Amino acid sequence: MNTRRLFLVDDDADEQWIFNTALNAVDPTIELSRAANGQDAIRQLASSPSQPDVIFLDLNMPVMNGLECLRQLKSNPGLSGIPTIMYSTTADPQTISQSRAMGAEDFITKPYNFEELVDALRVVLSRIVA
Amino acid sequence: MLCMMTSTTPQWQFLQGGGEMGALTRAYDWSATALGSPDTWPQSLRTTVSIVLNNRFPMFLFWGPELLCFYNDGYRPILGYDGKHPDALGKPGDGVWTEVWLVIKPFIDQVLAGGPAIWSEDQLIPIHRNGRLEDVYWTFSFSPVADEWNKVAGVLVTCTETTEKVQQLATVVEFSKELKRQVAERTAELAASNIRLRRSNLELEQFAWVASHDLQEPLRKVRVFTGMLKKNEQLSTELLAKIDASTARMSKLIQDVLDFSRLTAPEELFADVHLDAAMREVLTDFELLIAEKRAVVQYHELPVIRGIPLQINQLLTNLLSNALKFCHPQRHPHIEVTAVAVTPQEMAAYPELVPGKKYCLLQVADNGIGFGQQHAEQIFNIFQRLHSREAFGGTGIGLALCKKIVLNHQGSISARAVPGEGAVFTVLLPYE
Repeated sequence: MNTRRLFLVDDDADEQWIFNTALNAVDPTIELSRAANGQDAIRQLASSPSQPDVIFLDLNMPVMNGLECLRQLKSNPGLSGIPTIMYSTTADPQTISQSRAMGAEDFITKPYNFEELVDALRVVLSRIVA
Repeated sequence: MLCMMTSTTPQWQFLQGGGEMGALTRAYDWSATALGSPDTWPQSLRTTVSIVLNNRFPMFLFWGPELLCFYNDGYRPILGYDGKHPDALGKPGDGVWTEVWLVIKPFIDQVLAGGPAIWSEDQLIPIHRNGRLEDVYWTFSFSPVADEWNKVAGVLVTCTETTEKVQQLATVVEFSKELKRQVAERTAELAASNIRLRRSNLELEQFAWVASHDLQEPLRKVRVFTGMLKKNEQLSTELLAKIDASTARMSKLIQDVLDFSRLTAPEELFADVHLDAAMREVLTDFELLIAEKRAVVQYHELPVIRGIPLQINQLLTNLLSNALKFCHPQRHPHIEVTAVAVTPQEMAAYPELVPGKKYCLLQVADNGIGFGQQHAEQIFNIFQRLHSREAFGGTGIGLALCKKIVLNHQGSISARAVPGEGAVFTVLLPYE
């Protein structure tokens, strides 16, 4: 099986660390690339020769927030095919349905429990990048 | 004369009745006028005079080439109490109505020339009455009276004075205008307060949402870290440091939210604020940072305004702190603070200001990293950040605080910036 590659867009270093730790617990062979905001993500993805299997996108970020980044991803023919999962602390129903309407595969609320995050990642990865 | 008043001759039957004016008309020495004694009067005049005298409606008659005057008891009050009555009886019209002759003569002429009757409603014809020229309103008709040869020999004026009605109407109109003005004023006040209320509701919603989001974030992290700690003791030092950092951030956030929500504007806190002195004080607080960044801060002749001293100090502190924080990595910060009086023309560009108040325009300009102009409004939202916490510290509340302070002072705050070149924050505060 090919190495699975994930792309995490989150401005918070702690969040990146937690995510990476949870991902290692699911499967240590998964590669993780990161961007600190939407603009950084678009720039990295557009200039990269290969694409990740799935993108995890935080909502609230400086410079370019998650919804704007999602819009730009979905309107870019080279990037629109990459499954994108919204990943945020607070999620109001309106934002969840809005991001789904804009083409997000799923919406994960950042859990309060590390194990929950590990389980959520396992489910999502088995579904999207089996 | 007395004899004529008491014993009416039979051929003068037409002068019977008519109250006071009837008696006066019978007693009058008509033989001294162009009409001659009443027994020589044509029937048309006799009939008309009889109608006039016995009618209760105010009536006045001009007769013959001299337009001699007749009137009845109904008309009598219209002449006032200073000499027009009873002198007008039997006199030529132009002598009786000198002050209005220019107005009414054309009506009389038109009717005498065979034209249709004149009708006018509530017309202002000022007359001499009760010792002065009074503004009097009339509804009247001037109608022709033909003689035995079918020639118009007289003009019958039936009229009623409508001064009181017109004045009442004017009062009602004035009152209704005033009422409309007051309603419009109250409606505008209500609309303005509605807008303020809606804005404040929106701000409250936004505040609640971002507060919950930003406050939850460190709390959630602490729980995740403690959960990990329970499972994996190897990571304990690293995790404890992270927990410590998260709780510290949480404390700072809560403190900032409290500071923000406590920013009220009670009247008794307002005092004269010498912006020069306030700026000196703020610069003292930043002394070390200014030295460390080798920054140059210039300001001159800042005015005295009426404000809440502590809040004005917070405002200047936040603006200065931002200018120092977001400095350009390749150059020393240069910050310039200026103040000028706002002209009425410039006021127009700021609809949120209170009309009639005099404002001072304060600008804080820096040569820092700036930002895209598209972010110029959102930077004043609470917890809004344009840069990651790793790049520039802080809770993202500083400019929201500035905005609230400026609103507490009924002022305005805005920003213009060019990425990589610098930013200018413009604050308008009322002098009084």
